Amino acid sequence: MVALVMSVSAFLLVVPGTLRAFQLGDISFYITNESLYNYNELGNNDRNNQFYESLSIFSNYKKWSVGLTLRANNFFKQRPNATLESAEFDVYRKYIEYNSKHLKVHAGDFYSLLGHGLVLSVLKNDDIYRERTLLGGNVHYNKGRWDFKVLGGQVKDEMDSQEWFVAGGEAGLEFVRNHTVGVHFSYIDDVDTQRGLGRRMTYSVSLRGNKLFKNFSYRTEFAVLSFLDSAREEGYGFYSTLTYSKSHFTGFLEFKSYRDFDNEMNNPPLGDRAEEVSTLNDAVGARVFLQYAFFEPDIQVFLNVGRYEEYGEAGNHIYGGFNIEDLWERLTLSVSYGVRDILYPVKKFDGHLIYQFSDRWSVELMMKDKRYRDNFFIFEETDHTFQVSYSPVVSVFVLHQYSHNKVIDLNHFFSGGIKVYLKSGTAIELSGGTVRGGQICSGGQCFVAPPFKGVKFSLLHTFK
Amino acid sequence: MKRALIIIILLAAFVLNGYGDSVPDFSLKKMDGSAFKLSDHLGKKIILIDFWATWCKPCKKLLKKLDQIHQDYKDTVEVIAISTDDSSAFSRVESYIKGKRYSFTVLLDPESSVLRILNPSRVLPFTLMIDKKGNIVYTHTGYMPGYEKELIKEIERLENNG
Repeated sequence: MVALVMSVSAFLLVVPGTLRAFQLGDISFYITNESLYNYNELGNNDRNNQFYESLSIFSNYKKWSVGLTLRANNFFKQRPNATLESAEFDVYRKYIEYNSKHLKVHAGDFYSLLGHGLVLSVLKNDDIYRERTLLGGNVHYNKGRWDFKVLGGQVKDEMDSQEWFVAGGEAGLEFVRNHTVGVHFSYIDDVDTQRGLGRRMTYSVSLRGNKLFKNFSYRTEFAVLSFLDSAREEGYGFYSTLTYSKSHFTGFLEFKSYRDFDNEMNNPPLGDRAEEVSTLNDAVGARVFLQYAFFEPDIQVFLNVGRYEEYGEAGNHIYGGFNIEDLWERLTLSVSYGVRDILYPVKKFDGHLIYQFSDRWSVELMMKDKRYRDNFFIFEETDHTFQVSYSPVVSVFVLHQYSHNKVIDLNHFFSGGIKVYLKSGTAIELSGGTVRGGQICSGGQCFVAPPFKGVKFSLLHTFK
Repeated sequence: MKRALIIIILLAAFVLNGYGDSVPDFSLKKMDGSAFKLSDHLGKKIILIDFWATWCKPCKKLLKKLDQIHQDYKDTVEVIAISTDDSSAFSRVESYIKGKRYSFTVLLDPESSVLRILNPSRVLPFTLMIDKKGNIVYTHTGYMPGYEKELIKEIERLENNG
């Protein structure tokens, strides 16, 4: 009961005008608060009542800064027997940082990315709706044409069920203006994981440049993965892009090749669009992306043609479409259609229409349809969103999602809600229904959400 | 004990309300790999920062409006668009920005190091405006058609206040 009262107090305290950024002499503070109440029948650990409260404090004093996030009732970590009346608290983020012109020293938790992600990528894992951070330290030194970074620490899954020890570093040199060469490495050892890959080293060399022959830019990286505790063969990864842009035309070439290259902590660039997962174990591919833009009126047409081979099977990925924006200052329309036929066929349609009646009133229709079919599965997902907005204050939305393969025993997902944006930087949302989960765009915002069935009330307050 | 700590922090923030806002400094890389440090730009113009991602459609709509603001208020406003896509999407960021010929500054935050401070909820798009004194004067999450007029109103209010 005490926790409930405290939670309600927290809601009241974050009403506009309370939490904000402020300064005391040379010390500045930046505070944000997020409160969320869910009644979610699909919650983790059979938790239906989910209350989440997160208070982040960032403070700066000359070259020093500290950050801290306190959480109450993170519903991913709640014990099955936790209740609203017995709140659980944890210190989620904590760090101290020294930052001078050339040197940055950080101790605590942090995200990390080495190279283009081929060597190490410790970031939020949107696929499983929770975060991974490195808890340890890193030092970054940059002067003139040189750039160095070293880091080390432990990576813990937010559920605490898996843990790794990680060390790494990289060095970069701008050998000619706008052209940089880099070397990168990571060392990973299992502390408590499911796969037990043992100690492994990943190292790479990269090259990137801009303004090559004025209109070209390029990026390329080659990496090798070695397993130190087994006779397992070395894996490798290669990624390369070349972009040309002039006047109305943009062209883009991409080549990738990955073989036995999953070190559990890398996330190399994908040749395809973000939603198409590509294997790191055995994939080779190339694609060409062409785009022509008319600027008056604002219309873009684009075509992507890719050829890939995964696990010995080759196929194409082709998609194309157009975007029309602000036609007659009222209409925005984008349509794209794609077919990917590698291992199994995927067809995807994406449509988005906005009509603006006046400076403030607008109506929005979105439709996404994705289907694939192979020898074992028939898979179909459709999303329809209808939204009426009065900018920038309120948005009312209805979202319908359809899944053919009965994900979580549901075919149709209906949800709706209202979002209100207050001038103070506060956003309030009241919504309910069922949501399939994944990347959701509603009420003028986009976010990654877990599967949901119930009601939700959230209050996001940034400051002032 | 932990509850008491949270209550004390909340109350402290409540009591301290009324001091001038200030923005945390940060450094990120531009698309061409060169460094950008916020504090080097403070005090010269009004700064409008927008967090976006290639998969976020409302973000893309807002970027177009921000480019218009960038052109119309070139002398007084610096627009900075921070991509929160991870490194796997860099090629999409680059081809999108170049294809649209946007002329504002684009920064890359693949490690979400700045986003996690300024907007821990990670809801996109997220915009904030900083006046010439380095104070945060406006923040907003989300985009609805017409929102840009609110931004322009705020910019003109700041211009008029010097």
